[in-house]
Amino acid sequence: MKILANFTATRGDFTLDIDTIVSAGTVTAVLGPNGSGKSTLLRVLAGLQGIDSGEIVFGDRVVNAAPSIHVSPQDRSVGVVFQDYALFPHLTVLENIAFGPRSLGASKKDAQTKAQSQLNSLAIIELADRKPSQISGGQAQRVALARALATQPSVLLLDEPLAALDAQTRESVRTELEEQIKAFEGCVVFVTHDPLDAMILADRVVVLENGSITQEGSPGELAARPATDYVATLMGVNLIRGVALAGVLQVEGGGVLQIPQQLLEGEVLAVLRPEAITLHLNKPEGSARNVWPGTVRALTPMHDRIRVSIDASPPVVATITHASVAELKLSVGTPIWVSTKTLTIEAFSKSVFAST
Amino acid sequence: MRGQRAPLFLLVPGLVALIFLVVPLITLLAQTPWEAFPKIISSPEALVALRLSIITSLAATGLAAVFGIPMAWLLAREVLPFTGLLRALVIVPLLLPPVVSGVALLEALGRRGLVGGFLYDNFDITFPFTTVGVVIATTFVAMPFLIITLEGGFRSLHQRYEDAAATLGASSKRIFFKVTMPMVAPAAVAGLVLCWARALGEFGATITFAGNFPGVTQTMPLAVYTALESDRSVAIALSLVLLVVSVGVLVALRGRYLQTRAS
Repeated sequence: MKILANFTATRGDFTLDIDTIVSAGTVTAVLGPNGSGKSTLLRVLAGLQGIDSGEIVFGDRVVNAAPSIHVSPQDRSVGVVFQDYALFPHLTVLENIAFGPRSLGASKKDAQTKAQSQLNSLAIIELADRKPSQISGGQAQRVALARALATQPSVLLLDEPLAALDAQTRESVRTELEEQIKAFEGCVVFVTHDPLDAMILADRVVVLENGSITQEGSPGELAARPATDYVATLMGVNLIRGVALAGVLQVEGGGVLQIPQQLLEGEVLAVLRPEAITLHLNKPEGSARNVWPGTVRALTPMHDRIRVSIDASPPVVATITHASVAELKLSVGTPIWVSTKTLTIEAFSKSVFAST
Repeated sequence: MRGQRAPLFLLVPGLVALIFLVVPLITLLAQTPWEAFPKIISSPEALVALRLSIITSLAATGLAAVFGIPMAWLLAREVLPFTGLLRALVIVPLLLPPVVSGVALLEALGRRGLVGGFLYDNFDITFPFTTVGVVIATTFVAMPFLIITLEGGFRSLHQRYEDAAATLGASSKRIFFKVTMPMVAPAAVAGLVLCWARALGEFGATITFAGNFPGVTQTMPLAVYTALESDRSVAIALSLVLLVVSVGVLVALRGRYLQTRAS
């Protein structure tokens, strides 16, 4: 089965404009900043919100065709894991999981048997009689997934499945979630703002910004060739736009870089990895051909190094060790020289994204 | 106690308010004719009034539940046009002097009223001065309490629970009865108790619309009013019964009114 989604959905002055295909047996992450329309996309796929134009097809079944067809959430065969899980607080864990099968007409006994086997397969049978308020966040995540899967949906949708968890629980729950969603045979679409979740869990990442898809590809492709500043920042790389000719890149907004891709011409994107950038207090003499001056704008500590944002032409972010920061006596406003070896720059033509 | 000292200009008037509200209640207790009390409240007149009060107030609460709960849902989900205006209209009987409600009901449902005239002429149905009239007057005055309380409950219930139930295949009926109502149960109980307490104490609309006939429309508050003109001790004894019910309601809703600060 495949999901074919080609539609627009408007709410107030926000428009979601989607054109993509999700294949069965793959896990698709929808990655985007807050307000990009990720949750709206999920609600539309679940049938909780309508569309204004276009259509959505699940396999060979049209579930949305504006303006006449809208298959209700009840009849879509979707399983949804909501943000904060939305477990019914007045029902036990077992009753929560049995709710779906029971709604679809199973007898009370059959629904409970089904729920019990779900709990068994997730190794949380001991939680059966507890109320949602009596289980941990990680357990609630498992129960929410079990509840969504109990109706045997052909599409599984997850809204920020790990966002409600603290950092320690996240790691273990992510590993577990990975096993479960990879074992799921239908289409899996999950929404996240965390690139790490997308990188680890997804086969394919759809980047959503301001209601539109700005890039699609495997996690590796995104890291190697980020198409927008948002993706570049997420992947921790510098993305520089400009016009290339014979190995020289005229940077948009000022500055010149030597690039190793001699044959590239026209509008290009160049990726500069922050760890490949060197900082100097005085203008360096050496083999590096890209050398330009700037000032330190911000210093952001990461777990084992420091991210230095530099105002320059072009502006860049470098990651350097704590020792280097101390040695260079860096602080906000320090004048600095930036250098990078030409060979560490990867530039590619902007037109490679036009085809998506 | 929050460890803050009250300034005098707030403390003194505040305590005056407290004394003002509490003293009459204490006096009522002090004046109760305790020896005669069992005899008074077991007298046929008192028992008839008590029985009528309980039946009509429960009937009114039942009607309010059947029609008021759906109305509260419609208001909370804003599915009707002009929700703000509709909410204001629903609250009006809450603020209206009950005697005015009684007059309005007479104009609508009286024998010569707009709707009542039609019913009388065609089906020989009359409401004023009947027990059904008491139920109608009480429902009119008490239902807004249920609607307003429950609307708040529906509003504070996050949409995602109903969404989750829908994606699990539940019909809208199943969602309402298995998810929505159980989750707003505290608000529903509070609304029903408030509605019932208001129904039990109803006086103005009832006496205007339904009159004051022992055994037919004379509920407890009307009996108190009538007794006051003949035998004061009977009025006090009956009042005490109503006071006990009110305190009982307060205890039942302690979670709402007896907590020291909002949770």
